[in-house]
Amino acid sequence: MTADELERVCTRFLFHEAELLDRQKFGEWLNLLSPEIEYKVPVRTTRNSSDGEGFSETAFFLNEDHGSLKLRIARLASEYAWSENPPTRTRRLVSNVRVAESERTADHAVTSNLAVYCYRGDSATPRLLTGERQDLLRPENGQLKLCRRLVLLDTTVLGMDSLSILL
Amino acid sequence: MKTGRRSPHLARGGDDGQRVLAGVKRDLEKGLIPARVFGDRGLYELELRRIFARSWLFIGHESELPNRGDFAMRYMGEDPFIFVRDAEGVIRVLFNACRHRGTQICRAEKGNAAQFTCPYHGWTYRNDGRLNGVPAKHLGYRKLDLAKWGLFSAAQVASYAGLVFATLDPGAIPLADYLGKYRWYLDIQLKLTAGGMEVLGEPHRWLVDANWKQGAENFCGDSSHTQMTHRSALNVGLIGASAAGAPGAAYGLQVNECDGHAISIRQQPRGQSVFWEYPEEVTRLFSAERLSDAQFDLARRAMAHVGTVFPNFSFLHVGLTDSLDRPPGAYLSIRVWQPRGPGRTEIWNWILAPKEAPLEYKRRAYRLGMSSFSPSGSFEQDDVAIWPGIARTASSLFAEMNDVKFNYQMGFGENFDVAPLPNWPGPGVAIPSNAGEGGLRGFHWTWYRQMTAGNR
Repeated sequence: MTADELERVCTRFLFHEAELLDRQKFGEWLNLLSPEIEYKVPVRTTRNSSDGEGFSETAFFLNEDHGSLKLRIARLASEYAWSENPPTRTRRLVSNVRVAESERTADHAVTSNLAVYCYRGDSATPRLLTGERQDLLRPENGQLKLCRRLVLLDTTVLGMDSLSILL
Repeated sequence: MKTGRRSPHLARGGDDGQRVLAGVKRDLEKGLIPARVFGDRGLYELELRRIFARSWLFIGHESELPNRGDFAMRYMGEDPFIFVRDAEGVIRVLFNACRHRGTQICRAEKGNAAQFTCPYHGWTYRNDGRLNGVPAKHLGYRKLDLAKWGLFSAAQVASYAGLVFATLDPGAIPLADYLGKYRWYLDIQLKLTAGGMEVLGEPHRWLVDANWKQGAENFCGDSSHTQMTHRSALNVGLIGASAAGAPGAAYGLQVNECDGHAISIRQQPRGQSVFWEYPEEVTRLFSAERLSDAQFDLARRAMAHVGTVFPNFSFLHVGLTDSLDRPPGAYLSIRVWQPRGPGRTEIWNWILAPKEAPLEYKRRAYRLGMSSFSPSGSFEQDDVAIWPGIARTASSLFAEMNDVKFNYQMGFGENFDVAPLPNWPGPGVAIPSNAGEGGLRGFHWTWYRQMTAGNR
């Protein structure tokens, strides 16, 4: 595969994934994940520039494996999951997809930007979350699976009632 | 359709804090609370002055500042402070404003600094707040006495079992007296090991469009909301049914009238050993050395302890799982419901585990806390989905016009016939039922007393 083809394949994967999440097809989304998935969204604090970007090594908004993601999705299926009933209407914009070339491993290191607009209830004003994702996509039986995701949010204080959506 | 009578003061409009306050006592005596308590801006401004400027407020945990010079940005009410361990090791809470012309001198949420330098004109302070230097002193500040121009400090700063509190009131009673008899319950959460509890990472911070008292009152003993609000979490089996509890006398009790603070407890009968479901690798570290037999017994039988230290510090000590292929484990969550306006709260949430616990367990404890009580928490998500609706009601013109009261009568007066436990070993009054809102009524009584305690 050429670099262009690889980028196209990875981009299609991310677009397809975003569509599944925006359409609330969480079961199908779960099938895009490797059973070894590591999914992290660290807490971020504002730091002076000499102290780095402020992503925590110990505090997370999400720090998931397959089992915990499965349980989250199981809860979302309940009509009593008030945070998502009525559901948040999301629009994920995935862009700036960059794929790192590697000869050592079959996994593809994919970086992308994410902007998620969240609309709830009868509020005309969406909440917006943006960040960078650093993913590892693994070819498995002719398909790509997400086996690692690190979401680096731009915000430190979350400007939403809850993080009831996936990123 | 009930539309209510036209209020005589309708023409006056909102922001009528004193008037709202005047009716509260009469309402509380009937188990009612005016809706506007949760939404009136004038009342909120009074709260900032009469509650937040006078009480002991939680700032942070000692374990967040392990090294000299470590600092974090924190708030008292809505005011910015620096939480710092100075060069001598003393923990300080310093007003985050340059004494020159008011610039915010600490602009990072966290870091380590031997001194703070103002970006505007370069006034420099040691990390204990003392003014170290000003620019061109010999030219423009010849007579300036540096000793008089150090950073302001909170009036009092004190620690209890690792919890650092501060107050803006120089006349406030000492922290130990403010916590009073309630320390008996704090000790159970915090003193099972010699090293106590340790914070496991930076706090979650997030904004919820609800009044700060929603969270604070809920953690005083809103036992009956669990079955409905958190039904989706209960139904997927991530917490034992006994720990979650249903209204009734079986295993749940609420403790009120404890120096203004409250706790609710779900526990197993005597003889069972649970310790909130910490695994053996952690419970083997627990000892009764720093506790009485009665306290240790409560820890042993504990499934869930949930409480609020007035006004806005709460905790939750509980066992559950984050995945059906893993056994449950326990963690301690502590949080601040920080006021950001009558209809807005910033929630700060820390997750803790025993200091001596194995590192691998601490990682697990963190994930358990995050999975249940945090912005993405399977329980927390549903609480915060509901509370903003109350804020809308509380700030509505309808509520103002019709003097709408909220019903806090569960377990009140004739609605209830469960007597307090006669042989309860701890302080306060222990009611062996979850079918009541006594803890919430107690919270609002404490609030009312503080709001009307003389004019200073």
